[in-house]
Amino acid sequence: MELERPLPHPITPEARPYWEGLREHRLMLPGCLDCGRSFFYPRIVCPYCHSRQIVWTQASGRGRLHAFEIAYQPMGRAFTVKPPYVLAMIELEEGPRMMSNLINVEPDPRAIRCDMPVEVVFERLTDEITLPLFQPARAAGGGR
Amino acid sequence: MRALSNAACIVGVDESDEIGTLPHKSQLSLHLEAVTNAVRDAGLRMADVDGIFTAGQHSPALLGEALGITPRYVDGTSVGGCSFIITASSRSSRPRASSAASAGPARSRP
Repeated sequence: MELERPLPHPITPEARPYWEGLREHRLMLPGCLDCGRSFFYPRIVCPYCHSRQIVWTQASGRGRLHAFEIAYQPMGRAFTVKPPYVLAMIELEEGPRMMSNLINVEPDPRAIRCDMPVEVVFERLTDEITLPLFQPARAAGGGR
Repeated sequence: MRALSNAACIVGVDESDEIGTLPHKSQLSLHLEAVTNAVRDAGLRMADVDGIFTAGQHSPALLGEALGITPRYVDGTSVGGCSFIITASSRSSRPRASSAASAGPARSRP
């Protein structure tokens, strides 16, 4: 399969649990043992209380579409995903926001609304890398 | 005696948890370790830090974002090994930040 986008390389050590989880179809989030908040992206310090006690927990995979953009031009030659595609900022149920793509939806502004409930879809690209993409939640009342 | 008003003053110094070739740590992790250690050494909280100076791969904006702080003043000027002296002296002549974190070049194979 020809890859449609550049992949993370090398995988930074502090993000390893994230990528390992995705391989097993689990969306893992780093969080703080001291203040209890989840955050993203993975790092060794809690951005809220600056504790170094970081724990990993499995996210529900549900969230809401915080913001989106429908791209009609690819952002660079390395990205060969066929446009139009939807660039999406997802706000997870657990709080953190992450950049992803909204898939399995018509790339049409009439079909996509901010705050619409979404759920994770795991897209396996290589033996090492599986990406968390998102689609409109199938069950009503998904998300928060 | 020279007055300390409007002058730069080093109040805490530290380094990353480990020194050497550290393939199990990213450069950002080493930066974050050094900054959190130095802030602890100074007896400050991270929320007290309102300036960030870096010289190297990471911009002060990236470091501020990773730390979850919003500094009033940032400087990422890198002119080689004397970068830290320059940023320190620029702080003394034009004080913009009351507590600044200065993160040095950290080397690792990520």
